[in-house]
Amino acid sequence: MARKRLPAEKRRESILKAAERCLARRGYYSCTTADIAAEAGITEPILYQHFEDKRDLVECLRHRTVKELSRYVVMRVLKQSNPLAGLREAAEAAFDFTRRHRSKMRAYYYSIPELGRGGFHRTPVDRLHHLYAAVSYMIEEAQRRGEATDDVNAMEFAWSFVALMEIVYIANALGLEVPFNDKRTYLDLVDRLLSSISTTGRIEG
Amino acid sequence: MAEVKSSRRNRRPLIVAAALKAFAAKNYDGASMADIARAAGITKRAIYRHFPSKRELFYAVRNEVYTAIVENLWRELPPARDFTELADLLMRAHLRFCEENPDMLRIVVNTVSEAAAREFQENIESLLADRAGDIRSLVEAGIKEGTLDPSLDPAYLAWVLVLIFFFLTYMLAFEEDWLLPRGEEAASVIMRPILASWAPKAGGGTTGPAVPPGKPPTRRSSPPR
Repeated sequence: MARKRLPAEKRRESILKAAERCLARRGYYSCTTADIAAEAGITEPILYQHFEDKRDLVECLRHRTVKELSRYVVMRVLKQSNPLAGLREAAEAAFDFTRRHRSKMRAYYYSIPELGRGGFHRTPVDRLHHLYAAVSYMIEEAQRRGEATDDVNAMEFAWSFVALMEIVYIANALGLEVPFNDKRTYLDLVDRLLSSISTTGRIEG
Repeated sequence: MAEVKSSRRNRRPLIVAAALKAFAAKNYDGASMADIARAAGITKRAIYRHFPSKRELFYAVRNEVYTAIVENLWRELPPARDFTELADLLMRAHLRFCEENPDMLRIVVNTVSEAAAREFQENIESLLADRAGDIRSLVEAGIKEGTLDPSLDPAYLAWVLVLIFFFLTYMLAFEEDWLLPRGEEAASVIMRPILASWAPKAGGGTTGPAVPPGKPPTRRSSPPR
């Protein structure tokens, strides 16, 4: 049966989707380019026309995931009326995204471990840096508006908040059977953390 | 004859130690059984006598690493005046251990990519569940002593703490400048606001953390009405 010829962009996309399924199912090391090609219904040489190697393919996939995740979170944050409410929304959005795209986030985290082997992957590191920067700007803005207490070190606090956001991804990526599927309890912890620096003691709006 | 057998048995830790170094240096993919055999000073055949596959060997290494991390933390609890201080000390001890054992840190990060394998999944789940159980009893003690808000769910908090351990391990593994204080102080910076937000709410919504940093919380002498 003749395989349908797809335009390059569509072919790339279908390979990325196949890689995501493969990685989420088998982990990074057990998933070979041959597996990914088979999953995409193509031969390995075709895969190599679109990507240099497995690392290149995985890095593209990670980049795509981060873009989707960031866009989703930012869109929801923008609807909020103040920075602290925005941060709470960001945590909820992150939670919702991992629920909806569990295998996407799994594929992302499974593919992280290639550390320090000749120029390691930037995406996971850059993502954390950007997230951290965004959170600390929002806290500074809340302080400027008199909504967060001045005695809080925005940069240090930002890391606590990022840690609380990040564990949701990790739990979901590992697929742990933990009480983490309880969104209300999670958001209660987020609320507590943000309220502790709010000048009114709670999150408005 | 008997001697040969016993020396064979003793090779297991030798192989695991060599494999730990090799996997940490070259990752799972890059480290070959031949590399490991060379490092251990034995033949590939001898390795296969102890471990049926590279995967099995990797699992043995990973178990070794997780056991070491857990033993480091729970050998004996550091003396602390309350839960907040104890949690801080444990986090710092964890970070210090990871810093002193970069090879082990690498293995922890590497294992996450293997979480897809079913047996690993079950293995890591039970390992973490044991730890969460231990931490849970510490959280319960924290609630009892009045350091933590009684309306918090101890099981949930225990999992949050376990996962923050993981997060810190990851950050450390990336060897980046995270704009955080270096080393174990990073653990305190991350934990301080979170722990403060778990303190009992003093007379409803007040500004700032309910427990001033550095001061021991007042013990509740009688249950609240």
